[in-house]
Amino acid sequence: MTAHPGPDQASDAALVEAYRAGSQAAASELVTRHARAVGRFLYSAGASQSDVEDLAQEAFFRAFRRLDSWRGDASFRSWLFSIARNLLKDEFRKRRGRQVLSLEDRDLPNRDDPAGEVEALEAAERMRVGLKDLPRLQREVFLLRVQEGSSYDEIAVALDTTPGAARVHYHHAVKRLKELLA
Amino acid sequence: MIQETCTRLSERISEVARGQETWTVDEEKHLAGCADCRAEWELAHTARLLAQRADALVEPRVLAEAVTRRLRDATPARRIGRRLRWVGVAVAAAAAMLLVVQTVSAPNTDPIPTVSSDPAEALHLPGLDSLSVDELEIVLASIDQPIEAFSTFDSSEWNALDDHELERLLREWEG
Repeated sequence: MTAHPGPDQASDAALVEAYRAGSQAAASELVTRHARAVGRFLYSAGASQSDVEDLAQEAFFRAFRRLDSWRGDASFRSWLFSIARNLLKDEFRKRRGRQVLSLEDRDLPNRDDPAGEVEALEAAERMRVGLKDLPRLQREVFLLRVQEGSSYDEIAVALDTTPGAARVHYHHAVKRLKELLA
Repeated sequence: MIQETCTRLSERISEVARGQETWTVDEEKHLAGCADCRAEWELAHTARLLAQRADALVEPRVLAEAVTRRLRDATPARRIGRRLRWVGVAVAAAAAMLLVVQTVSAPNTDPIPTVSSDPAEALHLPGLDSLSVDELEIVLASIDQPIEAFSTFDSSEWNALDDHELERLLREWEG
């Protein structure tokens, strides 16, 4: 879940320090490293397709402007998620009553199996609606586990909880989403 | 035994859904007969579909370029530089307008001066000749005040200031 730097890759903390010392390349590397995860998080939590890129850009920009508030006790990625989460909340508030989670901008169905593809896309959209309504920890544990492949130990560190609690949140999320998608 | 298999599958669902592992023959048999595990597997599969769609919405290199550009543009030294440029333009415009007003109100009967190749002479402003000492003082006061304030500060020193100090400096200038 957190960046898993290889032997020749700088850790997130080292890149943050390099950026603080004036390295723009370090900022660029951090964005490149976490861009897709932030995009997935925003989209899965309800951001519209057309907003994902702008929101992700704003999340990174705010993160770098407020680096002093990252203490390094949580992973850089989960800290980014918390900024993205607040941005998304503001976005929903601004668009109160106009937040549409529909299939309006979906991809074209797969021509080999259009019915199956439409069904899958509908399920994906229902999941986005369901995820948006889940309690925060349930939603984030589920996304970190399923989309990022994080272990419960990693999730516990990222979300400042325990592995056992993370496991419980995951199972609650699965139960509620199963009901929703049944 | 069945419960153990459900737990084991649940632990591996993320890896299999992300294509990093595959189900064993026994696990596939279990999935076929266990509605709970199948539902969880479908959830993981759907979540992966969401992730794939999201991945197509963000191009990391493009995003990195946009973010670093914004960060560069937002540094205090840049903002100060931009504002100083505007202050300079405003001061120059005010001085020019004052000169025009003075020139119009007191038409100069002197012959039109020729342009000199000497830079010091080329800076001679005939409109000022018609002003009294008091009027010249007013012009100087309106021009000198901001220029003095900025010129006493060596801009190369900005590099030695941190963001907080630059922000404070900016606030002081802006009153």
